[in-house]
Amino acid sequence: MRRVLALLGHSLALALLALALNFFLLRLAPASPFAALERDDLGTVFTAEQRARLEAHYGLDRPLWAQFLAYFGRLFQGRLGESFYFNQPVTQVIVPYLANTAILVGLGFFPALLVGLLLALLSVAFHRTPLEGGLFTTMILLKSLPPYFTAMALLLLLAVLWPLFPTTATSLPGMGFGENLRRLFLPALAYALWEVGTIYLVARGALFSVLGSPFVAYARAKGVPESWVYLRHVLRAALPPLLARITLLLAGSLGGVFFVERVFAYPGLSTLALAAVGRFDYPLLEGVFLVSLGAVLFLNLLADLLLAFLDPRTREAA
Amino acid sequence: MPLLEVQKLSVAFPKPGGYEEVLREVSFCLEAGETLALIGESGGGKSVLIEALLRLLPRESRVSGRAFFQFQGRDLLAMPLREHRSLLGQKIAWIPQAATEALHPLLPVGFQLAEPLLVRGIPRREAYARLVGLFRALDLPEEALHRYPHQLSGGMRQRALVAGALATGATLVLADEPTKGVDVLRKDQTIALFQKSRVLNPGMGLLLVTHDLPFAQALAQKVVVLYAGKVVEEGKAQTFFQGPLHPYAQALLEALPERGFKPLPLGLGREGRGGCPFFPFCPEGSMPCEEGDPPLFQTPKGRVRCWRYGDTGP
Amino acid sequence: MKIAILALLAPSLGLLALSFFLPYPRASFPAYLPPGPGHPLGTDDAGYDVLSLLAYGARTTLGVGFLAGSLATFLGAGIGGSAGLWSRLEAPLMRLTDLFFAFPRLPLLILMSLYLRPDPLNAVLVLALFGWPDTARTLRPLVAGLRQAGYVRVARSLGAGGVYLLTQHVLPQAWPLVATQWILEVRFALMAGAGLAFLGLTDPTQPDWGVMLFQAFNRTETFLGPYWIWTVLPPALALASLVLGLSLAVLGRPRQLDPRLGG
Repeated sequence: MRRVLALLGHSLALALLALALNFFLLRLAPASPFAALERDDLGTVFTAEQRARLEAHYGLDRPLWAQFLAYFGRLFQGRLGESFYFNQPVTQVIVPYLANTAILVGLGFFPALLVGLLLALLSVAFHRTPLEGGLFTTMILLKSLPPYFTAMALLLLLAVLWPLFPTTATSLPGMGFGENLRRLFLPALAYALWEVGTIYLVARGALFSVLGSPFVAYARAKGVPESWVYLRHVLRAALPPLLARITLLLAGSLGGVFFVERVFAYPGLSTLALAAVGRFDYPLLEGVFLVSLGAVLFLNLLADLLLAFLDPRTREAA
Repeated sequence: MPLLEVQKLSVAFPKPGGYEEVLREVSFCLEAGETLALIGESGGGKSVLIEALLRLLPRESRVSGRAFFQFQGRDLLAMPLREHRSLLGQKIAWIPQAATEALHPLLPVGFQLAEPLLVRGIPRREAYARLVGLFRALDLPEEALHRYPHQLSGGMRQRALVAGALATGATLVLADEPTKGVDVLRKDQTIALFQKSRVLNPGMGLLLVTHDLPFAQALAQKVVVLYAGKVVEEGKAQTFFQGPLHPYAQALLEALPERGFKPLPLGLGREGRGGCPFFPFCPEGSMPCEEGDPPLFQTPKGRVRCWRYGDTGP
Repeated sequence: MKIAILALLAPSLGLLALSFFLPYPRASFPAYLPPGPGHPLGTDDAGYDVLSLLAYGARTTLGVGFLAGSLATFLGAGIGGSAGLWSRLEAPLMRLTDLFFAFPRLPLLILMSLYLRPDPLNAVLVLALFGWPDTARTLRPLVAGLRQAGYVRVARSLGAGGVYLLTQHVLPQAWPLVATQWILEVRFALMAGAGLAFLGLTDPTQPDWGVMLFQAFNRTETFLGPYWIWTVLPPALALASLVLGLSLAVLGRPRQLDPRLGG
């Protein structure tokens, strides 16, 4: 229990730090935040009225510490500010896009996880056969290619050369469920293909390192059938660090998802982030960044918790 | 026919530049209902012998020889792996040496011990009942069954493994240092348990690998001494413990506190120099010892690999 | 294997060399010319010669990648090595490392690109800024282990100073690991740099493989006709072969796993 609290505290500290970073970055940007907004090459100029409104919103007319407190106060109320471009609260703007990205990740990651684990198990069971060698090499190749490359390759093969799927994944109102699934298929597949390589390699490594353990020999000596040895003993022992590592993988793959989204013009967080960047919509961008960071921190915490839960030994350790 | 007859078992492991021979043509017989103590120093190859019989040695090792098991009279080392595996946990049980590593860290102890029974289709209730009885005899609390290995002490884990092996009702029990880390009181209980098991399971043969000599003396009917991978003495336990023949065995006994507490000579014998490997340490060594490795000589008290008994004839 | 690696790295290096022989790309040709005489790879939507773009793009893409990767490795090795050698520094440095390590690189890069001018130098800095923790984390256990090693202690007791220890003992041992990390960092920087360009976050006026892809994907006609064959494939394949080559180069090398995650 104490451990859980420690982990929570650690995550919280990290989150607070990130928020502070976010806060100060904006204010540390060239002289006035609005100077950055008024880039000559884009011809944006603010009227006095707009400037006053912005200053009031950011509370820039007040001392820095007051601003900081106000900022945090707003955050804890769940208000991330208002988007310049959309003229709506940031949270409202983000939610649908966030949901889309989450769907994509879910649809891609879980199949990749299952397939990766299964293939790793098979790899270990059929070690030293030429098939396994081929599988290993294929996986390495898959994982080495940048996600946008895999996505592009899929796009070319299955949407352009052989038009089985739509080339863009934007959803139009009135699309039925089947149609929606069709448009999700390629991006999810692209993401899954990219992740499965890493998952497979990590799982394979973990399983092999467990394979040499004495308890595996003991299990065999008890007459336990080979399949059970793998499933109940080897996998079980490898699972805690493996799942923790995979959760961290998920956290790190956020960037990759962005690329896949771009290739297929999928309306997820990346679309929002880039739109915000293009329009200098600071509040929106802050919001997207915070959400991303929150997801990553949550996953980090989840990884540590998973480890504690699955491995009774860590529970005892203070 | 004996329960287990080992004929010229040799094991070698690959090493840079060739192979290292760990066991050289070891032969002995274990009769049904008998306890055979396999004695020797750590690293002398005793565990390797058991692992060879269990066919758990790494793929790269070289194993030769035969091990005839009474069940169907077949050679354990030659039969198809699947058949061999079906004997394990049913007719042959193993008490491994390092109890800490032999137990899976993430599975409850009771489950692991009951596993050989469960995979045979024996209902859970009965399996656990058997274990509970054995646990009681070894002074282990019943709730240990539901605990994880790291929650038990080293001695408790070792005793749990003993219980697990006996629960299978196997006819051949291969025990590798079953008293490691176990205190004197519990050792006595272990002795009592093994003796009781013999009563309940009359044909049970126990191959006891140990360097705990008092423990061996309490249980064994036959003793085999290993040195540098070879059998150097073999005989009835009673006569052996009264007066062993081989100088190495004598040194082993003299090292015991009760018998003089004399320190053992360091290290194992020289390799590749020819001659008796124990020669550098032998207080009785003489010329023939330096030149040739002696064969096993038969004496009225048993067999010895020592030139001193040479004149009694091989 | 070595042949495969060289074969994969060759096109990129070849293109880089080529950039010194070709004129700087200008939008002076008709758009979407298919590959043919005068334009071995055709022209893109704005009339730039694709081959020139590819060659000059090699300069930017490779330059940013290698610089950023090297900087990240250097920083990481410095911090990780220091943490390993001087136990007093270990805790604070590693805490700092963990902090930077937790941040998701890509969203952060996107965020930072907003505040900084999108020129290649800034890209290098940003990529390196969050790249060093990986090397630091990998190197520290090795160095810390070395510090305890018998022969190092002996050297110390004989009066060896920090610099001597570093050059004679630590560096030779740590070198293979650092080299592996360097390749990995460069690979990531290449992918990320090109990725950021692909997302449109870098200076579109600088020729770059990622920018080429960005332009191509921005045009709806790219996939409606055969245009993608010479506007998308060349930069994509160039990138892929380079990244793949680097990945293969890392395959057999020693790589230390994060002890926190070990099985």
